Amino acid sequence: MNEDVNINLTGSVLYDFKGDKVEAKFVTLKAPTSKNISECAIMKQCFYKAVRFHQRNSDVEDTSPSPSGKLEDDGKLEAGDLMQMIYASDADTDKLFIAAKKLFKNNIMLFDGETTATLLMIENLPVDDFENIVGGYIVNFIVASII
Amino acid sequence: MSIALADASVEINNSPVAIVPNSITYTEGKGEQTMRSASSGGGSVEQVFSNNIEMNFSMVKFQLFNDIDSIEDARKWKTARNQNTVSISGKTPDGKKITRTFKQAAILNDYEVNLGSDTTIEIEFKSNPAV
Repeated sequence: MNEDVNINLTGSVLYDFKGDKVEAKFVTLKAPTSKNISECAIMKQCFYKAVRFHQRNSDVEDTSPSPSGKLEDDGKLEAGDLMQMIYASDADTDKLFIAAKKLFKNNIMLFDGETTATLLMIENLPVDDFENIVGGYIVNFIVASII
Repeated sequence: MSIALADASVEINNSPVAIVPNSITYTEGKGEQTMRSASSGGGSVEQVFSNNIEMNFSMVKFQLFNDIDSIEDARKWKTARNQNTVSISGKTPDGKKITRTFKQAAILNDYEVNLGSDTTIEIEFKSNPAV
């Protein structure tokens, strides 16, 4: 739970590094502390809402695309699957992303393992990468703390 | 009709900076050139153009208000020596945009921090030519 996690970026994002503009290759995510408890609580709540929503609807005919949800198969949940689950539920994704940005700029995210992310850098991330990072954070730090 | 750009934004090392309005000035870093004349006689004059690349550095300066955050930011930029990146960008209401990036920027002088009720801090960076 306390180990840092690296997530590769697929899109192009430039940031300032030691007097130059460089392209970020990956981000490093660090474990939260109690200083980040409000943001973690929102992420946990979104996860629980997503799980409960899908459990409630599992007996009802559902035409929306269902996530591949590998949680029951091999106990491992992928970031992309988790984000699909959250999107397909009644969880407040707007609140989730605002909490994620606030969390990440609080010394939780590093670009290329070295540069602390600022709000400007986070907002320059491509949408797909940002979603993947949020999903990856929930999988590795939030869900891991529950199981 | 063209519209002057008077409210450009400044970002330094991935963070936006709140500056005193109308205080940004920069140079493109194209340096200084000289033009001399050569003559092969008979009143003819040819131009001898030369570029003094010793002057090919950009300058960007602006003023900050003397609040604690700005004072601490300026100190960090000075401590970072030439490992700063300054970006200026702006857009006019007619939709035209401009961006200039100043790499390897450094504050060379020992800038003065004026602590008064209506004072400002003048910050000047020297950097590689603007891109």
